[in-house]
Amino acid sequence: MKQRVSELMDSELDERTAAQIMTAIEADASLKQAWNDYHLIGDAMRANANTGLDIRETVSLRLAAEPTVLAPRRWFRSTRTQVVGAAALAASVSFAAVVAWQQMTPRQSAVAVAVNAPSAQSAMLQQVSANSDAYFLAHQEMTANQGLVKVAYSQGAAH
Amino acid sequence: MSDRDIDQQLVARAQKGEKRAFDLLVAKYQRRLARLLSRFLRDSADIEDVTQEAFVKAYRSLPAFRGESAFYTWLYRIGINTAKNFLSASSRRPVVHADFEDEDGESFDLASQVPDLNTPESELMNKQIIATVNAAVESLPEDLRTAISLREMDGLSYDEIAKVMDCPIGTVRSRIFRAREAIATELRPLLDTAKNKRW
Repeated sequence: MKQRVSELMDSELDERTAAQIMTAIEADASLKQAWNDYHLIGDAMRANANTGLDIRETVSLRLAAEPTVLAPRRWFRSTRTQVVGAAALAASVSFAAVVAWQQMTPRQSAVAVAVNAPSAQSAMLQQVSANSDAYFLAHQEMTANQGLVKVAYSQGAAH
Repeated sequence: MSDRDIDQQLVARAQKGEKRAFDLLVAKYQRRLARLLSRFLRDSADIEDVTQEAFVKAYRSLPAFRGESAFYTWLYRIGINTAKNFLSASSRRPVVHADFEDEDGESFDLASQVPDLNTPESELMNKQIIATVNAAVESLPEDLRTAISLREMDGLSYDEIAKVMDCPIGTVRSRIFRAREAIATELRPLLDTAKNKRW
């Protein structure tokens, strides 16, 4: 497990394993000690003039007196996740654009038809009404739906 | 996962209430922050106090941290502001001013030289730690010494070290770990002795 700590501080673990090791370090004093020692070794090798400094306990005691911070998780995503997220977003936008285009094209035709329709439609209705009035009048006794007959008749009567 | 991603994960955990995660960030950055502040402050006790204060302020400010910059950049800024406030409150002047550029290329108004102004006790402790680590590194088998040096001194990734040393990456992982453990074994008695001392 300590080797994993060593790998974590060198950024050589994948996100999932890193998260597991972080949890383990937080819970295990010897791993926590290793985390500190390994960082100290690195600082000493780079000749940091403050290698003797160790404020972990003092800060930890002060933090214990602090109210626990609770912030909403808004931004924490690894670089890979951000790339995948951006790709997914781009794909979603592209898909939405294609769907929208496909939807808009026939809809525009329908609108055009609808806009152009009234004159043709009314002419057709007049033709149908003229033909059907005679038919309904001839067969009104055999028609169950009197309302329909009345409408048809009234339309025919309007002419 | 990059180093920045690791920091962000630890910050995210701290933001969810895990104070222990923040402890790991303290362990990681305490010396680097102190080194930075030593360019501002003259007294080693002041450096320690301001470093502590900066970490506490950083913890309090965690809800406002949205990861737009690296954690250490953000921490350094808090440290610098804390040092400035400290100097202002105590009517003292900073040691030397100059521009300082961090690892992200962001520049800070800082001292240009690291003053050798530690107390004799802390200076001795620093020297002992560095001497112990150096001696431990020198006594390592050559393959371990090369691996840890390429990692810590040159900042090479495991993959790069594997190519340099012409060995599998798993061997690099093992060598670096074994080197660290060997050095830590030499270092721990010194750290145990120094425990409860201020520096």
